[in-house]
Amino acid sequence: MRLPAMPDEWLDRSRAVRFRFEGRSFEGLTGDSISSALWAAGQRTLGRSFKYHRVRGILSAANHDVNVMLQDGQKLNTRGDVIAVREGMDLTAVNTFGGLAGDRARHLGMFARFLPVGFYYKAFHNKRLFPAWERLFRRITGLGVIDFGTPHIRTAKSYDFCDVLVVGAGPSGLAAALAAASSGASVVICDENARAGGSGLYQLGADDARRMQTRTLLDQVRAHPRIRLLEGTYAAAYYADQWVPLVDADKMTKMRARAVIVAAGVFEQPTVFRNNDLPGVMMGSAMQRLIYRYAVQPVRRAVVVTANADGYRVALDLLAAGSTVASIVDMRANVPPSAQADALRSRGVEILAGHAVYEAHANGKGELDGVTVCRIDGAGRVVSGSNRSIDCDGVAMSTGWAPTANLLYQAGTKMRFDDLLQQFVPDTLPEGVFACGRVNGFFRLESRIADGQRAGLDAAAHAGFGAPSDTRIPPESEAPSLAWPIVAHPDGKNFVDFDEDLQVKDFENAVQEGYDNIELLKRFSTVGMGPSQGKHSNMTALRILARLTGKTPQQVGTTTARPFFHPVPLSHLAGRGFSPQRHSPLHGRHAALGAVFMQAGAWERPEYYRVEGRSRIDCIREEVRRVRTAVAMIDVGTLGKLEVRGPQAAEFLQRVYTGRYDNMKVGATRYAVMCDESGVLSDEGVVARVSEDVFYFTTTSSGAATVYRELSRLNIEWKLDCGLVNLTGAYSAVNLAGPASRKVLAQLTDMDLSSASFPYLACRSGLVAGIPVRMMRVGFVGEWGYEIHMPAEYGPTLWDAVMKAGEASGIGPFGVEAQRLLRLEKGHLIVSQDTDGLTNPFEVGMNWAVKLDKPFFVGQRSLQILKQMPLKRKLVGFLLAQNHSGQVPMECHLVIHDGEIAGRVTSISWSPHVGRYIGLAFLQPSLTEPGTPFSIRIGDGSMVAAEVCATPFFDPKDERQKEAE
Amino acid sequence: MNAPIRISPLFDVQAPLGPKWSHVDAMQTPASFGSADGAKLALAGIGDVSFRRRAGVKGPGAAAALAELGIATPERPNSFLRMACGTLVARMGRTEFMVEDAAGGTRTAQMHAQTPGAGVYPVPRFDAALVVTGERAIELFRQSCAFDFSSLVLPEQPLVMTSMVGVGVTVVAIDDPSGPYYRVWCDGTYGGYLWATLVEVASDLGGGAVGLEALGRLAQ
Repeated sequence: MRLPAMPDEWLDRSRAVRFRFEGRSFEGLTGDSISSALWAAGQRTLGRSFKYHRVRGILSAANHDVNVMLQDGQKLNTRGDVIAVREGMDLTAVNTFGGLAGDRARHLGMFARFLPVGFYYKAFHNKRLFPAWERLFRRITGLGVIDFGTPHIRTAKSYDFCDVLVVGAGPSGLAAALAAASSGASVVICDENARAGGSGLYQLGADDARRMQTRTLLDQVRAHPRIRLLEGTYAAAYYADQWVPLVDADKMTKMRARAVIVAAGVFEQPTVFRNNDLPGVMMGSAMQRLIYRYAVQPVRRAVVVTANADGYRVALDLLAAGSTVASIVDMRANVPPSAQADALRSRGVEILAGHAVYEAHANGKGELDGVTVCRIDGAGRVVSGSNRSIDCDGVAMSTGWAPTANLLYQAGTKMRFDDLLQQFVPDTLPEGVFACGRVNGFFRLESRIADGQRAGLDAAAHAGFGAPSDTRIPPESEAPSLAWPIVAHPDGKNFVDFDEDLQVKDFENAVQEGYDNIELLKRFSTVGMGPSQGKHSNMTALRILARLTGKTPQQVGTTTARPFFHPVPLSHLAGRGFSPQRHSPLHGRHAALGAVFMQAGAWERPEYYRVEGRSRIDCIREEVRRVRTAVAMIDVGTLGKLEVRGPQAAEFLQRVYTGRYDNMKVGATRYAVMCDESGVLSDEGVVARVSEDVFYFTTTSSGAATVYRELSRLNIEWKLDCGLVNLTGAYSAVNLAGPASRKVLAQLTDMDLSSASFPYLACRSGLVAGIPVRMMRVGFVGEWGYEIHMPAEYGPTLWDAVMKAGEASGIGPFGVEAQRLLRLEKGHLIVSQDTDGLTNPFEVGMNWAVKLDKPFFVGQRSLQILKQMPLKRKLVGFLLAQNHSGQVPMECHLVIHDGEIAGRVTSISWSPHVGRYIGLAFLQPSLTEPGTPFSIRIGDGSMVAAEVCATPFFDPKDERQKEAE
Repeated sequence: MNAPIRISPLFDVQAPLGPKWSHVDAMQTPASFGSADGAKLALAGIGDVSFRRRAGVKGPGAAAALAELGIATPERPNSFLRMACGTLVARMGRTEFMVEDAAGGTRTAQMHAQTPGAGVYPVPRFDAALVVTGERAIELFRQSCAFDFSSLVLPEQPLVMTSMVGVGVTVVAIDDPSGPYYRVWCDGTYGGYLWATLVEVASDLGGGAVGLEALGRLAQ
């Protein structure tokens, strides 16, 4: 039933909202949650439980349970208690077979005795039957149906900053925010609820003065220029150094604060009695939320089971909402004197001290229509013969709380169990983290506000504003939580965890099985592992375990609190995709020429250039043919490009590479191999001596950043008189290769390109097409060629000039795949393709590049040792049979010899020049003599015959470097 | 032979948008992306000033080498100054500097012509260079960078080296009568990605790519 307007209700009564639930039409108001709209319309059965498919209604009216879990079209995990109802919603309850009312699985509860906790661990481990069981369980346990056609939702993700972040905008949080801001700090205060104010606006006990205290604080917060109030925003986790992700409906904000105040309050915990899950049985605070936020009368005739002052306020609020309170069932032996108790007595409400609800009764629809109450003794045991029935359509449970300490735990707070409060409270807080209010153990409204002010001043002082507080808040004198809010019942169904349908006896069984540690108990019983992550169940489970094991709650301890506080939508976590993409200055040229790009680290590189009507492999082979017979150009701008300058530049290179560089002539280049300390080949490139004290050198594309970082580190450590500069992004580079390359280049430069002036492996500087360049005559692909390096901004201009000059010679581009084949024909390895994380230079035949007689270089000591040891493997060339047909081995296929693994293929390709498949492979040394046959096992398990051969496969005497055309 | 054409590292991502082009310092640069440039500029404008010539130098002798050329250097690391001629001098570390000419300026040419002395290591720079403007620029940065740009004290002419959308960037915040704006430099090979991503985020904020005409003196 909808009540008259409440002063702080969340509703817009001028706008009705029509929606459907389980095929029926409903109408609510803008601002209603799905649950409140349904409840106001008289719909009390809102969902089915996970395991036994029992009907469920509202439990917390907050995000502390998932009794009301709905599917909203394509949207899963819609939590009815907190998601606002929208016009046109078409909602169905999850976890039913055939709908909520006629759920075909509703009789599962009758088999409960055969489904004890952990039954699946014991019953379904048969390997043969497991797949069938798995399918069955997947079918019956899903919470909603995924629609794989759901569009990809892109959300922004942002960073934000403040001096003080306050988590929770209840009375203490609001007071904390105001105090911190008044000290000069910039403050952000967030609250997961649609509107701020917290329990200060609904736990009233029909006392408007309480509401006004919070209202005043809230108004001040809204008006304060240094406070930003974020409603509908929850703090999802706590990470190091006050880093808190804030999640709202649209996005995640990564908040970095100098200080964090946790004023997150407490979760109300269910009282545990038989059938405590019937629709109509709910938390006292849930009833208050319904009354004051949504102006909904929760029930007509209520029983309030309580053990604290909050329950009495619930009763008063129910009376104010026009409900009848049939009885207050106080589980404490004595009722402390209070104005609330007096007020209730004066209105004729019966108060039964030392009583409990023994069991709840359902009507024909499975909804509450009465309870049996009983007397309990000091230990919480039922006094036999004391039962008595009371008709009611609602039970308000208000017997205790658990701190919302998730973020505090994640921050590393040491908590202690306070025996008076019957609650864990912060004992030692990490630096920069503060707590206040009920999570800090203060429950009276004035104490919560005072504690908030204290925390606000302390946090501001930590952030550098003002002085910390010297206020001491008087401790509570009354326990807000009952030590044992549990009523035993021989027939069970006294639920502790509503997500997982866990009853008291499930815990008893688990402990009997030996799972008597809180972490083990959690995993075996699954308590706290449902969607609400133990918010309404962990504390009760802990109490049960403590009693069963004879320990105190402090000794039992709590389970680990991990992110996230609530489930975060994957779209929020993903946010906008930031995947840095690197393009060479020539990228546009490649695209215009039809390049098919491949990802190489952060780079996009042309794999090959597509030609209409030709297959990929034909395109690649044509590019290869062009290099071998005419001229072609490849973008090698992705190579790492470094320069070292200074009097000790040569000494620096001597130390970082295995070769010798102090004896290089100016204008010469030399192949360079780099090893790590363990002698593993880590990178390679070409070193060019540009002048006496300037060396320009390249690294592999993938190794550029790592090499520069490591060399920078070494340069700092060695303190040599030289400086290192990374030119990788600043320079563009191409390799112009092929018999006609010199002819093409000659049209664009005045440089002397004769073999005598610019021999193989020389380096020269000059102008090409008016652009200043450094050129190296290298032969990676086995043809006469020039590696041309130029300022990045001139790359496209030079590319265009060369392509134009080469038109008459049949020039074209070639991509990475063609280059891989060309270099393979030449027998050149590619680091990280033909080497791995254990390869040393001796295994790949690079003994000539390792100058062990140098005084020092990185990896030298290891290589000296390795040199004395027999090789375990060796990289060799191989050929497949001339007439090989059928499947071709692939890189990483294994070499099998005498039934054992004897190596693996690292590169393989069809060679037009050789007319056979050629490749490189690691083989055990006994198989490496040229002519040795071996077998490669391919994907289908069959063997392919191969034969070791000498490399290079092409131009073994480098004749191509001696002839220009 | 004519001076070779310089190509902006952002050309490939700008050309598909069909901007009106202009040529500045031998580099083709968008003059306008359309009539909405002005409005975007006021909210979250992303402009390209890669055409400005740049040169870097580092090493223990760097400051002295610049002084020899009459180029002033900021006193503190992580700050910048603007010379009377419009040259921007950024100090990235104790011994590392970047000099950026005003349009038509010649300071960097002088640096290139200078033979490096002891402890002087020239750093050729062909960065992608952006201008970020508008009242929502801070929000743009908050969606793309973990650094709090609102914490900068603008009169101190601060310089920040950080990561933006995963790309290493150097940023200076410039105090201007029309409101603060920002200059952002990154390795040109990441430029297209950075520009496109920032433009996408800026578009969500009502901004986007803007040309030189809208930037006006902010491009100087």
